[in-house]
Amino acid sequence: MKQDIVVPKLRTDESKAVLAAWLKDVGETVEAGEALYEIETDKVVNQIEATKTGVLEAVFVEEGDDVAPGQRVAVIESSEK
Amino acid sequence: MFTFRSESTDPYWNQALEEYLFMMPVEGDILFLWENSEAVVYGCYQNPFLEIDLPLMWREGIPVVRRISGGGTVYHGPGNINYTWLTTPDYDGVDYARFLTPMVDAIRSLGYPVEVRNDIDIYLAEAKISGSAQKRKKGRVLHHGTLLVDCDLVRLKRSGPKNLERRSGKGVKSRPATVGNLIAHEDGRQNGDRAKQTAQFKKALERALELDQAELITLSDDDLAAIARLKEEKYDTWAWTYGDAPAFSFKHAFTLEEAGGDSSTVIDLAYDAKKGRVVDALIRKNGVLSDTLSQSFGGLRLERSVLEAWCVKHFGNEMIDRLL
Amino acid sequence: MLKKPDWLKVSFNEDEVADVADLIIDLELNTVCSEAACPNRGECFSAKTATFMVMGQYCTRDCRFCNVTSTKPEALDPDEPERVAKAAATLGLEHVVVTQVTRDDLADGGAGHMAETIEALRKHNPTATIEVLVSDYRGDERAIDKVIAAKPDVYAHNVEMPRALSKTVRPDADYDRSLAVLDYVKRTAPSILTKTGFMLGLGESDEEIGELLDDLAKVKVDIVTIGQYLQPTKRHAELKRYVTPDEFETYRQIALAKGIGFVVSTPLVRSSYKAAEAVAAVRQRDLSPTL
Repeated sequence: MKQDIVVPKLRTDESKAVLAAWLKDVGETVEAGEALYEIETDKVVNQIEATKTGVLEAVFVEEGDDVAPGQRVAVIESSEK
Repeated sequence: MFTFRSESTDPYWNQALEEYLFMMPVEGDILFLWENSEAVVYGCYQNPFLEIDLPLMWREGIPVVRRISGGGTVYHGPGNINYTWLTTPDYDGVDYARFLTPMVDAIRSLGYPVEVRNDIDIYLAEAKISGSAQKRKKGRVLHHGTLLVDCDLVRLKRSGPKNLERRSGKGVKSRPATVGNLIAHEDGRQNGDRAKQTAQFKKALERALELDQAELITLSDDDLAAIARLKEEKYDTWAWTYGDAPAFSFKHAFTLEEAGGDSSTVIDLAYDAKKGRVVDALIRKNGVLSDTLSQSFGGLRLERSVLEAWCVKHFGNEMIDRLL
Repeated sequence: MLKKPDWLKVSFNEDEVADVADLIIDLELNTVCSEAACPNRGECFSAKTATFMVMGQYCTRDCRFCNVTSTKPEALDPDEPERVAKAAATLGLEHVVVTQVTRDDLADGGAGHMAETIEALRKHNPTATIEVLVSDYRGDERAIDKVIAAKPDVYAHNVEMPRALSKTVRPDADYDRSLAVLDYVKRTAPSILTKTGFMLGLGESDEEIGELLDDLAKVKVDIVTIGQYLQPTKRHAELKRYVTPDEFETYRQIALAKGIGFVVSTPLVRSSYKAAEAVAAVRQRDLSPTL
């Protein structure tokens, strides 16, 4: 089952966010709770974890790209329902 | 509330210690003050090759440290006090006020009328005396910041990058600001009492933050060994400090004097780098592309000893300032 | 006593190693792999590379860093070259490394026997690459010529450590003589790749390592391996430090910056680690035209 990975809302206002680093490569298995990527906004580096176990199927932004809350950045092919 | 006493001023050790405490399963907050000997500490996703005068830092043996929180480049040294606040957030998103408000209150109680500006900085009149940054991981938040109490501002400024026209690239940029000391010597003049004043301030601030009543965390031998490993395998390595660096391009032309003194060669150096290594180099000698120079430079780590070795072999000197 | 760091702990598949090990025992051969207690056996054997140690298991010298037994050597076995060649063929080896104990008791230091081994290997393994790791033959050029004449693909002789340390830890050998050997081979037979290796952890300084690399660059060595000294027993030279993987990479980079063509530098490196890869990489670089 495909799960969209979407940038969470991090600040009450529309602050700019940058996808700082992918911690997993496309094709790698990700466990639920494992760190998936890091996002930086307002000098906060936020480590975002995967919520479901699966394989990282595709990423749509590169490290260093600006991202907005709600933006889809990746897709995980999840083994869970 | 817990607190900790770090006796070390080793920048790499303190960075490892901070991360270790960050991930320690503790019920409650940890707040502690600590100091480093001279060091440049840059934000996790910055580009050190664009934000710091690396050849100068390398020459003078000033440690360059990459931290895990975001934000810009700061200078640590005698007269600067760092504070770290670790907590389990009961909120989503970003909150600086919950850490800065108590800090500001405490500093004000000591007689310094400071205020928060831009949500993140602490100012005394028109000078920024504190910057901060955060990291959020596994349900825990790390907030830390600097406090310029009585610091050498001249040395602070010289750690910044030179010759910006030579390079450009990606990475989180530092935001320049007018900085100043709490104990105001605006030009950073060395005060003979610097150490004493800083120590006194630190003690007073700890009391104002009620850390003298907090429970002191002690570290076991296993803890210490784990921190040492973290320092050795992460913070004090080229791989962590420079090996993740975002891409950048460099272009610079300079003249090489030949040993005889009569002739000189114009070297045109242009390269792309990523993850701290040269990806692609085009080097010309008096306008003509040199395969030898270009190919041998390609793939090299941008590391002091490596660059010096290459420079000695091809140019007969160790002036790596011109390569970076 | 320094604690062995995590990056030096290696595990390998015992079964994979067992097949090769059995065959070697059957053919009454020695591999330096088992003699010197090498942690990489699993990886090398599965990559179709193995190192045979010829001329017995006893050495006429007594270097303070080496685990090979130093005592009166065995008489040379004239059938050994054939047995080595046949074993290599049976194992389907693609890259064969032949090393020897030092045989100062023999007039040519064993160079002739080594040359015969190379020839036998060529006969039975026409497509394999052959690398020899030899002693300095006391600098005797006629002995070296014998090995060169047999045309190995790689002529390796280990310099082991910087000049200053050589005097104390490697008193039976001579740093400058080792360099001279490498230089002689390169000048006499330019198409043979020269190779040398040295260890870190014996108390060397960065400056000494830099000088060593400069010396190697001067004699135009093609391949350099850098590894971690592991103290075999308490009586051997004292282990001064464990060098981190990050530091190994720095040394590799410095070597490359000084103009050495191919460098393998990691904690687990032994002379023949990734030997086949090194040959292939150097040859390919020589073949591809520079722009």
